[in-house]
Amino acid sequence: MNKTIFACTVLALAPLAQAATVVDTGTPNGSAVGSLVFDGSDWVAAQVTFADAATIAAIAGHLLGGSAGETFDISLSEGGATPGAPLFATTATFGADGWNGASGLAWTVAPGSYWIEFEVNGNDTLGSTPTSTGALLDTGVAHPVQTATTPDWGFSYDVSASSIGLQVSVVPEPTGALQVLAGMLLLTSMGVARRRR
Amino acid sequence: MTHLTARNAALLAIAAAAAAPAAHAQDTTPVVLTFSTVGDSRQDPVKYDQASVGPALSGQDATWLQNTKAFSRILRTIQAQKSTMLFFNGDMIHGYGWASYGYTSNATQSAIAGPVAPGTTADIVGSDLVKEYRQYAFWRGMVAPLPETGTYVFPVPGNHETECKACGKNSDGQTQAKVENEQAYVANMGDLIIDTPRFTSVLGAAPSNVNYGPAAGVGPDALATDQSRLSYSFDYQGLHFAVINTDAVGAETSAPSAWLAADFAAAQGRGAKRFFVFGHKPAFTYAYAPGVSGSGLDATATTTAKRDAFWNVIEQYKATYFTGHMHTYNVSQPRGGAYQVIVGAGGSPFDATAAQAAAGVLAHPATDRDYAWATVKVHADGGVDILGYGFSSTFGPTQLLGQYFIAP
Repeated sequence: MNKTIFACTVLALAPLAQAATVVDTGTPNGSAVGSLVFDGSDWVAAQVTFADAATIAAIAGHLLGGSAGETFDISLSEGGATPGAPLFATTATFGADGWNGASGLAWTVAPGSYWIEFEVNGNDTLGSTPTSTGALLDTGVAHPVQTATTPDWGFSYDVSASSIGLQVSVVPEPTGALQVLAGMLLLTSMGVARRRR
Repeated sequence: MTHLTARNAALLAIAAAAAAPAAHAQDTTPVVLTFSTVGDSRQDPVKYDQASVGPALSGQDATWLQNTKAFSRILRTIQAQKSTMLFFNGDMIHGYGWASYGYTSNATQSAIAGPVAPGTTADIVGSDLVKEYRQYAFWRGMVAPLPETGTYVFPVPGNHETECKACGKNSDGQTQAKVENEQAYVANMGDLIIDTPRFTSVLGAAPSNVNYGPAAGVGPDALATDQSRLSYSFDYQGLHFAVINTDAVGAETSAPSAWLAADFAAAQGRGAKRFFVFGHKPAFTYAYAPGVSGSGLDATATTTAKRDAFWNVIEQYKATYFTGHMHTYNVSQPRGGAYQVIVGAGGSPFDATAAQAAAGVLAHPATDRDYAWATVKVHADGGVDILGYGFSSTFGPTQLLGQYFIAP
């Protein structure tokens, strides 16, 4: 019985240690041509919506053309038709062509829509090494997300659907995990009771 | 790093390893030089592209005749791409008048009056001479920050700089260029050709073997006017760069092929590894829609014969020809060898109209109406990446439009 309860407890608590993916556009095609330029002049924001309160654990975009060790910024802004006031920001490091982002974020958000922005700011180095294409936000996923770009460094935005690659994961809410644990314990105790009968 | 952080980092790393796309870089040797090229930023006071810039020009663009929004955005991105050179392939001003004393074209440039001694201030201010100098000054102001942030600017003359629209056609039906327009161009651009101290401060090393262009009447090209600083060339890091005037006085819609051939031969003798040529008019017209006829160096049978001689030189030296004039983006290998790169979409009204796009007749609907430029990366082994970048006529996000590789 003790082994059973232990196993159930491990299973029930496992989600606490795993980020749950809430946005996954799929992997872009890696063709480079057609991808969005991502440099000190061009940034891209993608709209994401959370049905419940959440703690964002990791954000990654599918990037091409940077050099290992170069940095870029990821930030979260208030929602609306276009990006609003910034709420959180972090610096990420490019590794290789593919998924690049930041983890361990612990950005807590209320239910609603937000904008996740990929930027190359003044202190960032992404694109400082002359690579073959310069940094790109790869495109070609089956499920485009709404994106906003600013065409003229002003206060107007170009909002359209873009097939960039985006992954967002959150920390599961503890209450949910505890409910699972309680359910497992209940099922286990019922099984024990049946065996005693 | 917390347990949670470590786990997420591991998940990201696994995802990255699993999803890494095929490498798109074909040349892994270091990039030794990055340069950009674009042309045709001038605005049209009458036939501007309303589908792109709106129903009316801003007061600024209506006065100085630039597509400031598109061109300034292109310049910003070129700077962000850390290009150390920008070759501007002509038509930086609307011009198209006669920058001589006492000449004034009408608004549509269908007629020109003069020479008439100006009697009022308005006569002076409204003259072609003053208008063209004003337009030059505005364009120079737009590109002035570039050398301060690491990008040297090389001008290329276009037909809107050298020709006078209302001054009639030559015997081959080509709009005539005027020597006063060539002189105005040199007066407004000549300091850039080539300011060796500035070049050196921007790029870190001086250009060498600067050829300031053909003098009048020299050689088989038999040019009618001095082409110094209208056509010119130089070496840099084992590469040879040549700028040509495709609308010289008496030689409209043609390239100075003999001068270029001699220039290339000399450069090759010095060990030049790569040849890049910048001119305004395309050697081969890009038929972006049915019915598009020759507007480049293939405009007539006579110019086409000269074009063939020019392209023979290009192919002999495996050069790449960057050009403008056509307000669109297109990369081709017209004879299967050398590349022609049309990047005349720097802000001028698109050749491909919104109506043609709506009718679905464009050859490349995804890019024919994009504002576009090329950024070129030369690798240590001599390999060359030509990267076409641009954004839509509605100012969408900047995209990589095309990628071409020339092997060492």
